[in-house]
Amino acid sequence: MRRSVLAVLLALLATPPVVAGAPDRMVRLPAGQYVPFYARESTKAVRDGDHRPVPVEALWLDRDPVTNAQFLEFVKRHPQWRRSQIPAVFADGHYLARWASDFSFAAASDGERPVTGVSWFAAQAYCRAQGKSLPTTDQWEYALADGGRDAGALKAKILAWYATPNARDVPPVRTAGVNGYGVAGMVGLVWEWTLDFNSLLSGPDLRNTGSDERFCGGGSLGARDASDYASFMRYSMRSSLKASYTTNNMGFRCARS
Amino acid sequence: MRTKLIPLIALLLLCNAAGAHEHMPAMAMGHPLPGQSIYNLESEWTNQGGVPVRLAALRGRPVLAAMVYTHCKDVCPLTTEKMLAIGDKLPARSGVQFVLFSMDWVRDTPAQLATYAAQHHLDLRQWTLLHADESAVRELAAVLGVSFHRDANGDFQHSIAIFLLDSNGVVSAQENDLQAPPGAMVRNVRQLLARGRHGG
Repeated sequence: MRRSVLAVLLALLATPPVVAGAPDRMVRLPAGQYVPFYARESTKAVRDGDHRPVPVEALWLDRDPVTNAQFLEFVKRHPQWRRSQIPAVFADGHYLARWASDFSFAAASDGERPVTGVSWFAAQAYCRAQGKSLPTTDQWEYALADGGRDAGALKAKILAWYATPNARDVPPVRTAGVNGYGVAGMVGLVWEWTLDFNSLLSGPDLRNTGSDERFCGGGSLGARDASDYASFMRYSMRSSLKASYTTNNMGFRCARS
Repeated sequence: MRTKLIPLIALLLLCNAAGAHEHMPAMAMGHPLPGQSIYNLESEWTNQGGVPVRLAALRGRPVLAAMVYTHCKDVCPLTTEKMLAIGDKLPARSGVQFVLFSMDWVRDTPAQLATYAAQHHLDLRQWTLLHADESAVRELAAVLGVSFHRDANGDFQHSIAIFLLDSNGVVSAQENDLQAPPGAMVRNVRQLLARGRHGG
C-alpha cells in the first residue's frame, strides 16, 4: 500500500504539472534562492564577505524574449508607443531603429527575432499591456542561474557569447537553447531589461548620505566572486543604463507572479 | 475688448469646474506636452488629502520636486529641509510648487503623508505630497534617473536629487548635493521664472 502511494507520488513528480490556464508561452519557475553577484544590502555580514542567498518566489517567465512580430501587435494597439509618436522622454533617438517604419521591419524574417532598440519604458509598457511586468533583476538572474545546473558550462557559454562581436542581425528566438527550467535564450540572443535595472547604487549617488560604505575602496568589495567576469559585465551594464536608452542588442521578456 | 475676454472667462470657468483639472488630458493647456516632459507619464497619484492627481495637473507652474519616503531617518528629512531653505530664498508668491513624490508605495498612505507634512510644517498651499503604486513609482524614478532599492524591511536605498521642472514638466536643473548651499538652485529657479515672464 505504502509502495503504491509512493509510486503515485513519484509519477506526479516526474510529470510536468499541467496548470489550468497556464499563460501562453510562459514557463513556471519554482520558488528558490540564488546568490546575487552584488549584495545590495550593506550588512556587516556582507562586508565580511558572507554572501547569503536571496529568496525568489515562484514566478511565470516568458519562455523567449519578445519578438518584433509580438511588439508590432502591441504598437498597433497602442499608438503612443509607435516609433513616430513616442515622446522623447521615453526613448532616445534610436527607438526601433531597425524597423523600416512604424509597422514594418527591414526583412520579413525579422518578425521571429527578438525586438531590440526598445527603451525600459516601452518594454515595461508592453509587459503591462499583457498583465505582466518586466522581471526583477533577482528574478532574471535566478532564471539564468538555472538552479545551479551545469554551472561551469553555463559560465563558459556566457563568456563565449559576451566575447563574440554582435552580429548584424540578432538570431531568431527558435535558435536559442532551453535551460533546465525550460526558459530559452537567456544567453546568446540579446541583453535584457529588468524592472529594477536602476537599483544598484554606486558611490557618487550616495556620497552625501553618510549611510553607505559598500563601494568605498572599490566596487569589487561587495562582489560575490570577483573573478566572475560575466556577472560583473551584466551588473555593470545594467547600472550604466538610463531608462530611455535603446540599443540594437538589448531586448526584454516579461514575468508574472 | 469684451469679446476677447469672454472666451477667456469661459475657459477659466471650464478649468475650475468641479476639480476637472485633475483629469484634463495633456492637451488641455492649449499646447501638446513637449516630448521631454515627465508629465507624459500617465500614472495616477493621490495627494496628502486623498485626492487623485495626474502629473499633468502640475502643469502651468515651475515645480521643485524630490522622491523621498517618510520613514527615512537621515537623508529624506535633509531633502525636505533643503527644499524649504530654497523656498525661503525665493520671492513671495513666486508660484513655485513644492512636490514630494513618495517612493514608499506600501507605507506612505495619504494619511501618513499628511502627518509628515504637519511634522515638517509644510505649507500645503505650496506643497503637495504624492502617493502612488509600485508601477507609478518605478516609472517616475526611471524618468527622473533616480536609482532605488527596496530592501527586505521595506526601507529604501536611493539616490538623492532635487529637481527643478519648468511649467511644462521638463527637467530644467538638478541638485544632488544636499550639503551645498541653496544658492545655486535658487539662481536656477530665478532664471526659470525670468524666462517664463518673457514668454520663454
